[in-house]
Parts: sequence; structure tokens; C-alpha cells
Amino acid sequence: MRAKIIESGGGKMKSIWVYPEKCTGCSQCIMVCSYTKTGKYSPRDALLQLLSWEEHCLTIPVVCAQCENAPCQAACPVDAIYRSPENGAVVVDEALCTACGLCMEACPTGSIFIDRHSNAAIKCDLCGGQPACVEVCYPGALHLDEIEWAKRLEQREWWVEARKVHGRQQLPGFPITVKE
Amino acid sequence: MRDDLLGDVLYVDLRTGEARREPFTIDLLKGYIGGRGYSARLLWDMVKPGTDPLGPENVLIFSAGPLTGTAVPCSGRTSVTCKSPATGFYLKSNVGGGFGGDLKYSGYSHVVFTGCSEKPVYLWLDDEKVELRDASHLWGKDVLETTALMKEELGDPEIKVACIGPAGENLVSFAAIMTSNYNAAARGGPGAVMGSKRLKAIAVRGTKALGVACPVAFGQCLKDTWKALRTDSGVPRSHKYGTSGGIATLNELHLAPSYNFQQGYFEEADKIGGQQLIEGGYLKRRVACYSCPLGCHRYVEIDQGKYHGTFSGGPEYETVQALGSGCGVSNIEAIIKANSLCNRYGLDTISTGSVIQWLMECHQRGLSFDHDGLDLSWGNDEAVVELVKRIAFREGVGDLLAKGLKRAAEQMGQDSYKWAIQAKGLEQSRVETRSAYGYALAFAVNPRGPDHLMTETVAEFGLSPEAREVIRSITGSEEYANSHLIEKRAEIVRWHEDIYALTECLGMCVFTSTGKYFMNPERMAELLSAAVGEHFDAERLMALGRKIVTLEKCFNVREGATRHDDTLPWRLMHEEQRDLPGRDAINSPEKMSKMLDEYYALHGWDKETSWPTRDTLEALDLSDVADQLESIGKLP
Repeated sequence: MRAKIIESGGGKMKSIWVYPEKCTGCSQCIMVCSYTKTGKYSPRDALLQLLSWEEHCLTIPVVCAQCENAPCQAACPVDAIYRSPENGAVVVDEALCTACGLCMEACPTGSIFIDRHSNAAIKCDLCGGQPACVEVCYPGALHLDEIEWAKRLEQREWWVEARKVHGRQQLPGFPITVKE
Repeated sequence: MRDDLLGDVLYVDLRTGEARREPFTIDLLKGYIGGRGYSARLLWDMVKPGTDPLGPENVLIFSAGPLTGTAVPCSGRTSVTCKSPATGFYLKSNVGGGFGGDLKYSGYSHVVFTGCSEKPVYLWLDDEKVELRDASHLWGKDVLETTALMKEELGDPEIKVACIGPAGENLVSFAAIMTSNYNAAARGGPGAVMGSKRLKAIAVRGTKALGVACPVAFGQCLKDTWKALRTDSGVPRSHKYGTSGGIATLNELHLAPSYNFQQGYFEEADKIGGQQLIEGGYLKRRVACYSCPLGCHRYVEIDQGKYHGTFSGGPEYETVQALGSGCGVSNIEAIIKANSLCNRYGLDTISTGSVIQWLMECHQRGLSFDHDGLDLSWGNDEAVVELVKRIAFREGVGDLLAKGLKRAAEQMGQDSYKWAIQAKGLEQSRVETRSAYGYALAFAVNPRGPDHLMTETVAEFGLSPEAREVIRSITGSEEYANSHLIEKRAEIVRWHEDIYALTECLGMCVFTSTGKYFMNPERMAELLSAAVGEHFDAERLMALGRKIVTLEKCFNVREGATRHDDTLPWRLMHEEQRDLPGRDAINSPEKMSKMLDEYYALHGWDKETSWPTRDTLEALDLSDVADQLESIGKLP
């Protein structure tokens, strides 16, 4: 019920928007994300991920789009995933989660995980409204903003494409070149 | 498995294929900080005087610092340490990219290679798993090919690779070790040492978590650091224009050498700087090393013309000078092309440009030698691009150049040493030291040769309020922020030596504490103390920096260095800078001698020999080093 109320507000709550062309690959975001969530620097445990095409100095931050009708939420058999009324993030109720992994299968961008410490699903919760990753992004590749549902969907498609071509000698088709 | 920031030291014997690990203890950290510092100690302990740099007795050490792996801005650097094939002296070459971070997350602070492998191999560090693997199929491949093949073979596009290209395999005396494809540990030729060991590459994947000892204090200090970073006047420019954005400014100060240091000014400097990378549409992305907010690196592509399809990281400030203005080349696309080839083949762009400029001047002066079918006129960019290839593969005249300037000039004869811009066997960085006396002194005493990446006294130009404040704090007055003075240069150089060593020992980029100034000894002390749970104050850390500098000096003393070696290239000592007539712009032996006297006195080193005294060494807790030097008659 609580989720539905927010959905009708359509994109008035904030989420993280990524400008891939501005990302320098510095990795501050994944370091502070892991530190915020685990108390340690463990970038491979970060909830946002960096995909790199090193030959072309391209790094693409992939982070949960906090989708409308989020697939992870829809897939959860025990209703452990809901939209936070405070900040609009799609969040996990650890107490309800059974770590079945259906949400992971459902997420098209690979942005929800089973945490090795809590053994529950874990995902970007926008740090309760002030994401640590956005704060340390000096080049301005990560922004916290009110993003319309349609735009979120568009960016989600970017991440799907990025995942598809990552690790191959192929670059994604969305904008990756700086504009001055 | 430990989760602190110290990490282990991994020893790999390439002859036997055996590996063993030892902890990097808090006592070692208290004695040498880490990174470059402990590597200098290992080099002193493991490499006997007279060792052939390209023989099995040389070591090759990769190290990250105690802060590497944390979110401390710009803390992801790697130091590479060995005896240099170019100079026969101490060598530390520092490199960015992403290698250092993963090295720490795999649980190591240092990797020490000894011996030579019979067959080409690469090292695969997958957390605690250590594996030497056959690299026959990679031998002969360039840096981009090697890196891509290894990522494919190991099944993870996010692993970090440090490797050599054909130049390292062919033992070019200024071959680089490349990380993340475009970051070079290059000065002094560590790539040749790696090639001599038949070690093609190291791949690392680190998935471990690293914790800090005092999270609250650490977090507060990180916040303060960010505040300082965001208000530093040099940071935005660095991000926007990169290192080569400074060319126009330095050219106006007559600090940008052209035509092989025949002058300190380039008429077409406005065609080749960082601004032109943007205006010409070459800049596609800004790029950072691990954990660095500044992102001063560039990624460029050429979309049309004769170099169409070229892409590469860079070019950096020094590269633009070395392959551009120094060769009289103002075609920015040719510079991008030559730089991309240096990166692919694994060559130091500074030395590569330096030997090409020297050859062009040999041609200008009508020396008799085989031109190898090339038109060596100033500004002929096609010759520059072609020579990069011939050097890497040691073809034709490229084989002569691959020996480095010192040996090439000896072989060429005909007075060509007079315009061979090298000292100690290292080609000088493209800095016009005749207009910068702090640089001149720093370059002369630099244990690895005349080069800016050991002690960069950039503050002496007084180009920012922060720089002027640094000079005031060292000398007592902002008036000494004047690079044409010789007064107070010894003090300025020594402070920069200390801070440079300290910064690199911690695993940090020197752009944090010299050039940009959001890091200072006090902040470093707070961060390190909170990170490892051992109290350090600024004074103690700077003293440790000086200890490392002194130990590096002692390595050279043991190899036979004397005051005679602390000098600059012949031209800079004997020819005035012609674009500054009447300004006495020359690093004359008399001026140099005066600065050296002051510098040695300040350090407590003997003026006659330049050797550190027992008192000095004991005060730095290096009495065992004094004993060794005494036993071979090298203690004054």
C-alpha cells in the first residue's frame, strides 16, 4: 500500500542520475559506498558498480535507477522490498527477506545483491537521502536529482546495454564523450 | 587474513618460481613508512654494489603505500624500485592507474622479484593465490594487446595489469612498465629490468576488505581533506586542462625548452597545450588514477586526417614537450600519435623525445652519421613517429638511440655530448633549469638523474597563493618565490625532497602536496595515525622522508657516486639560454657549486665527496648503513 502512494507521485522523489562521459574512473564512489555499508574499504562489495573499458579510458557507473514498478519489488515473494516513503528509494526489509535471490534475477541492471554478511538482499538505498557516492564525485558524473520515470527507464536501458557489451571489444552506444 | 592497511611483502624468485610472504609490520612502518621508503631499504639490503642492472642479481619491487586502498584522495599510486639500467644508480619510478589499489585489496603492500626466468612468465595475484604462468604467447605483444589478452584469459575485465611492451623486451634503456594501459613507470628504464627478468606482466585482483584503526578520527580528517581539496586554487584547472594545460604559462616564463634546449621558449606553444586538446575536439574523456578526484589524465582520439583512428591516454605536459616542442613539432595530432606509440610499445616519452631531439640536432650541426633514410629536420613529425617505432624494436638508428643519450653520444662522438641533455645517464625532464634554480639544484642532486619526479620545486615560481605560502614557510619570506635566485634554493629543495618522499611513501600522488597543496605534513600525519593506529606527528614524518632520501643517496654512494655526479647536462652548465639574453640564464658550474655547498651543509653531508657523515646517518637511525659505508671506505 505504502509503495503505491509514492508511485503515483511519479519521479518527484530523487534518484541518482549518471553522466557516464564525466566519469574519470577514480573509484571514490565505490570506496565510500563500501565503507558506508560495511565499515571497510571493499570496493567489490559496493552497491554501485564501475564497468570499465580500459583501452578507451571509459568507466561507467551502474547504479540502481530506483525504477517505477521496480522489477525487484515485483519479484519478491515475501514483500520484503518496498519504496521508502521518506526518500523514494526502493529498499529491502532485511527481517522479511529470505535471500531467495529472485530479486537478483529480476533486476535487469544487476543492481541488487545478496549480502555476504547479513545474508539478505541489499541494494542502493540512497544512503537515506544523501548518497555518499554523489558527495565524493568530483567530476560530477553522479547527480542526485528528481528524475522522471521515463528517464529512469532510459538510463536503465543504458545499463542493460553496458552490461551486455562489457568485457568485449565493443563500446556502448549511449553518450560517452565529454561536451565542453 | 589481516584486514589492516599494512599488507604483506611477497617475494617471488623468478629463477626457481618460488614465492613466500612476510608481514609488513608496524615496526617497519615506523622505520620506513612503506611504499617507496621500505622499497629503498629492500634495495639497499638486497642489491650488492656493482650489480648488473639487467642481470639476475637486480631486484624489481612494486609497492603501494599504507594509505593506498583507502578513500584518501590520490592515494592509489605504485612505486617501482630497482637499480637503473640507464644510470647504474638508485631508481624509483612512480606510477598511477589502478594497480596499487588492487594490490592492497589482494593483501600485499610490496611485491619483490628476484632472479630471471628462463621463459617468459607473468604473475597472477588473485587475492592470496600466487601463480607464475607461461607468457610465451604474450611475448612480442604490445601493451594494449597484452592487457586485453590477459583480461580475457583470466576472465575478468576488471583485473589490473602492469606489463611491458616490446621496448621492455628489447631492453631499451628507457623502457617503461605500463599500468592500466596508459600509466607509465618509465623514468630510468624499469621496463628493461622487467624485460631482463622475462617477466611480461603482473595481473592482480584484490577482493579483500581493508579497515582503518580509528574510524572517527579518520573520517573527520577525510572531511577536512575534502574541504581543502575543494578550495585549492590549482585543482579545478588540473581537472579541466590536465598537466599539459600549463604549457602556455610556463612558456611565457621561458621555462618550456624547444629544439633540444637550444632555447627555453616555443613560438607555437599555443598549438600544443591542454586547451588545444579540448578546442580541437581530441579530448574525449578526463581520466583519473585510483582514488583521485582531480583526474588530471586525458583520453584523446583523432577523428580525421593522416593519424585518423589514433586513440590513447595522455599526452601529458612532459610528453608534449618531449615529442613536440623539443623536436620543433607543433602538430598536436603527431604528438598524440607518437605518444600513443610510446604507450603501446612501453617507452618513456621523455627519454624517447630526448634522444630524438638530440639526433635532430646532430643533423642540424652536420655531423656525419647514417640517417637511416630519415629527414631529421626540426619539426618533421613523420620522422618523430617513425623513430619511436625504430627505438622500440631497435631497428637501424633506433638501436643507437635505444642505448640512451649517454651511450649514444659516446658512440656518436663529434662533440655530440654537448647537446646530449642528460646527466648520470638519465635524459633530463623537459624543464628549462637555466630559468629555475631550485629545479636546477634538485635535478643535479637527484639520485636517479635530472628529473622533476623526485623533487619538484614548483612552488619557487610562486604561481599561486598556496605556492607563495609554502616558500614563505620554508624561507621566511615570499620574496624567495623567484626561480631566478640561487639564494635559499638549498632549503627549498630539501623541504621538497622530504615532502615528496613522504607523499610517495604513503602511496599518494605528489600533486597533492606540490603543485596543489591540499595535503601537508600535518594532514598526512593525522591521516596515517588514524589509519594505522600509531601516533605520528608532522615533524616525525618529514624526518622519515629525509631518512629515505638519505638512504637513496647512500645507495648511490655505495655504487661509487661522488660530488662529481651531482651535475646537470653540459649545455645547461655552459651555454646561456639564448631567448633570455643578458639575464645570466645559465646553470654555470660556479652557481651550481655554491648551491651544492649549501645543500650538502644543510643535509650534514661532506662537501668534498657529497657523502653523508656518520653523525647524519646515526641521527636518522641509519647507523648500520654508516657501518657498511665505512667498511668500504665511503664514510667521510
